[in-house]
Order: sequence, then C-alpha cells, then structure tokens
Amino acid sequence: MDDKTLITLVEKFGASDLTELELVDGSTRLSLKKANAGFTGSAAGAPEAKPVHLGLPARAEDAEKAAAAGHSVPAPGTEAITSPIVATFYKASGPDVPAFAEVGKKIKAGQTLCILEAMKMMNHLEAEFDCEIVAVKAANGDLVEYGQTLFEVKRL
Amino acid sequence: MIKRLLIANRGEIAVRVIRTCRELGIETVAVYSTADKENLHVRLADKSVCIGPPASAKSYLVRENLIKAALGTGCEAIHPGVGFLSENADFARAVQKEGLIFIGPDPDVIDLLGDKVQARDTAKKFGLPITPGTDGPVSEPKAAIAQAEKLGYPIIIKAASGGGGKGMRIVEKSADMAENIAIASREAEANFADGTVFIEKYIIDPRHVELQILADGNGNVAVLGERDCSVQKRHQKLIEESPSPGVDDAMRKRMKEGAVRMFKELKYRGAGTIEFLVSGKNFYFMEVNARVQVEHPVSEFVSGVDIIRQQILACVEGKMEIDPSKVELKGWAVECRINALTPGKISALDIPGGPGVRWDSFLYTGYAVPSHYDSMVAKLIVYAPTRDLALDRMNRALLELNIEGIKTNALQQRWIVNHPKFRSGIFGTSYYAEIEKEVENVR
Repeated sequence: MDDKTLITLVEKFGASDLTELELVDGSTRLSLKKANAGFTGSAAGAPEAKPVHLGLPARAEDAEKAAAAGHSVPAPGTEAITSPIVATFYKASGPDVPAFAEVGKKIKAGQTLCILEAMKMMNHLEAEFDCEIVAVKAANGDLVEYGQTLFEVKRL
Repeated sequence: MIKRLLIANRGEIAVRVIRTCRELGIETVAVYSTADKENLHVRLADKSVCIGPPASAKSYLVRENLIKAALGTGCEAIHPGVGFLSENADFARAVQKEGLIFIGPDPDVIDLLGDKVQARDTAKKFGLPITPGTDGPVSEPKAAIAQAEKLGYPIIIKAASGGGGKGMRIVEKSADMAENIAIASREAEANFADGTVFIEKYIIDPRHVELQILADGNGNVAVLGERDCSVQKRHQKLIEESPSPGVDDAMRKRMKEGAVRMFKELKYRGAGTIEFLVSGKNFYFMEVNARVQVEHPVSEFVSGVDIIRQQILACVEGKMEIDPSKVELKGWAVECRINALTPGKISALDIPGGPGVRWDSFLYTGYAVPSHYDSMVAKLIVYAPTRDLALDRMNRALLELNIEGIKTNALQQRWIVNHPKFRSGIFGTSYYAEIEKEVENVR
C-alpha cells in the first residue's frame, strides 16, 4: 500500500462514524482505532448534551482531556517536544517502515522525529538538539493540536 | 441537517454560535489559542482544538490549522463568526475545496462585497447612492493627495477588507496623508491580512445606519429592519439601537428596496449587513459586511428572529424558516458593548436580568481576561415597547451589572444612556467625540 492510499484511508476513517477498522491486503495489515470513540453523539442524532458548569474549579473532565491531548507535564530531567501546527501525526513514512523515533532511540539534531500532515503536506518535524526518546505521546494517525506534546526526550 | 460544526472564532461570538447550534442539535468544535484555553467558548463546545499561540496572526488567522482542525474532528461546516477570517473569500474557498460548508455567502459574492472598493461599484450598479471616493485602491501618498484634493478635505482612508473601524483614518490636509496611509495600511494588514486601502470623501457628523439582511441563496431576501450605530469612539461602535431615531418610513422604504434588489440579484446567502451614512434625509451606501455582526441581537429583539439559526439553515439547507414578506418589527432594542479597560481576573460577576434583558458574554467568575484580543467582553441588550422605556431599562440593567477584577466602560455607558443629547435621539457619529472628556471622567 502506498503513502497516498494509507493517508486517504486514515482521513476517510477519521471523518467517518466508524470507531474501528481492520484491513488485510496481501502482506499488509492495517488496524485503525479511534481514541475518543465516544464523541460521535447518541444514536438518535441528538448530541449528548453535557451540562454546563461555569465558574467552577477545574473539572475532572478537563484534566482527562488535558491528559488525552498530551498537555501533561514532562517527567523531571526530560523535555517535551510539541507540535507547531494542527496536523495528523505519523510516526513513520509508511506502514511497513520503522518509526522515525521509538522509545530509547537516540536522535541527532536535524533528524526527523515524525511526519505532521496538514492540508496534504507532509511536514517532517526535526529534532532541534541531540536527544534520546523517553516517551512517544501521540498515536499514529492522531489529530494533534498546536502545542500538544508529541515526544518526551532527554537532552544528550 | 449537519451533525458537527467548527467555529473559527473565539469569545462572545463563538459562545453565541454554540448556543444556537445546541438548539439545532448540532455538535460544536471550538478552536482556541494558548491564551484562550479557559475561555467560555472552549468550555461550552463539545470538543476543542488548540490552534496556536496568543497572536491572532499565528492562531485565529491561520487557515490551514482551522481547516485541519475541522477535518480532523469530523466537522461538516465552519462558522467564521465576526472579524478574523469571516470576510476572507480565499478562506471560504479553501473551506469549500475540502468539502466543508462555509457558513457565509459564496466566495465570489464575498469578493464582490467584502472588498469595499468592489462593493461600491456593485452598489452603484444596483442604483444605491454612494459617497464620492476613489475608483480603486490607493497606495502611493502622491496619488492619494491628488485624489483627495479633487474630492476636497476631509477625506477618510478605509481598509478594503476591513470592518469594525480598524484601518480607518480621517485626513484633514495633504501634509498628513503619507503617514496616515501607512498607518491605515499597516492596521489593515495586521487585522485582515490585507493592506489594501481606499479613499472616500468624509461626510461630517452623519448617522451610521445599517440594514440586517438574511437571505437563503435562492433569491429570497428578508430585511430585519435597521440599526443605528452612531455612538462610536474612533469608529468603534459603543451603543447600537433598532430602529434608528433618525430614519423615517420613506427613507426606510428606499433603503430596503435598493438593498433587496442588490442581495436578490447577488443570490446572497446567510446573514449580511448593508451600511449607510445618513445625512438629513439623504443616505449613501458605505459598505456591506458579508457576515453576521456583533450588534445583531438588537435586530433579533425587534424581529423575534434568531439570526444565527437562519444563517446556518440558509447556508446548510438553502432555506430559512422565515417568510421575507411576513417579517414584523416591533418595539425598541438597545445594545451597550461592555469593553474591558484593563485585563485581569474576574473576581465577582453579577449579571442583570428581568424582563427584556439579554446578556451575551464569555465572562465567568474566575476567568482571566487576556490582553491579546478585542476589548469587548460582553454585550448588554434590552428590549421595550418604546425608545424611552428601552433606555430606562438599559439604565436599570447597567445598575444591576457588577464586574469586579477588571475595569470596564459600564459606568461610562450608563452616563451616555442618560445624557440629554443621546436621549433626544438627535446626534451623529461625532457625538462621542463631543462628550468624550466628560465620559472618560466617569468612574
């Protein structure tokens, strides 16, 4: 399967009501799952209206959301590498290709960490300094926000 | 009907759109800059996406991030709100190119109307009177001076893509031209990502009157009466009312006929405003705002129509729930814009209530007002059978309003509402400048 087909598939899946998709094509096996599968609203078509609480201290929901969106505080001794744009996160350049950055891998300054796809443009996110990957905070195919933590790294 | 919609805006207007979407059963996706993480629109929306750092040019004006956020969250439409990219035809085209619905008129119509130079030509074509001005954009101070001398000073420089008074400068003499062209162009660039400006003869102390239009894109055009927005501080509207105390039935009829002809012919879709300068019984076409406007609630009060709801229906389904021939206007509505004079954290908030009072805002207790954006933090709107009763009601509502933690213009607004000249209904756009010193001393 080529990159284009893969990206089209991921986008169509993202826009659809499906929460899971599994595809086997020859030697390729693709499995897609939505992290926030509950967001599609009720079957009746009416949105699951959540009650509005204003002016209250931070809700548990907010903390969950923050954690899910990767806005967590990096562990001591590590630094966060965040997304500079709103994009789809890809850890590798193709389905059968190893990820640019896995936990434990050492990355040199200028080396690609991941691909951030926005408006059909594949943007390579490069490391600004030599580092070791401590954690990968986004999943392949995730929509990532501006400022969302993608990697936690140890500066080398 | 669509299932999910992204609002490419912030604060009060985003909150306003979310409220109608909830009533329509549409899920909403909010976007926010890092400075707006705690904004009410983010809390009210079903989902939210962070699109950039505080500066608008790096967040709310970045088309790619907005469209990507809409696609990535499964939205079918984008509502642009007011300001930012709401009148940017290229943005509307980019939205449509991705298979999304743009809640606004066709991009080609935005091009025609949103660009003030082209809008004047269009209005002229449909027989609406226009103020004398340049035939096209100006950039060279020399050419601008030549044009201005032909028109006679004072002249006004305006942003071709503008609105809300940004990028506007009045010039009294040739010596001041170069500097003002540069400032206006820079302001226009910063606010609308387009530095194009043009020149018009400046009409002294006119009234600012505008018609609220709703159209379904198939030639059905409803006019929800006019609004008078003559109380302006340096072209920023402060108080709006509907109807206008300076427009009589004959003028109203002529304005409406010209506007309906123009919007019908353009197959206009959604909400829009046609603005006029009124001088005595004469009126001149000024511009069209091809979007919903901040002051739309006064028209909602006198017409009983939810403008955002009809705008969404028109753009999504090509039809509205109102019959243009059966629009009934009743009573008097007044809006005071509540502006923050300082940023800060809201430590206490008492919101006015009671009959005929509406509060549109993104404030809540504990919310920190950021310093990066427009100063307007709330709109207080009242409705009553007559102008006098409406102003009494506004006075009462402003007395109930209590915002602690930031300084606002609420007391100044109350001072104006009770000022004899404002009460008389006989005033123009120079009125605020006349009373500015007294107003600024109100504490």
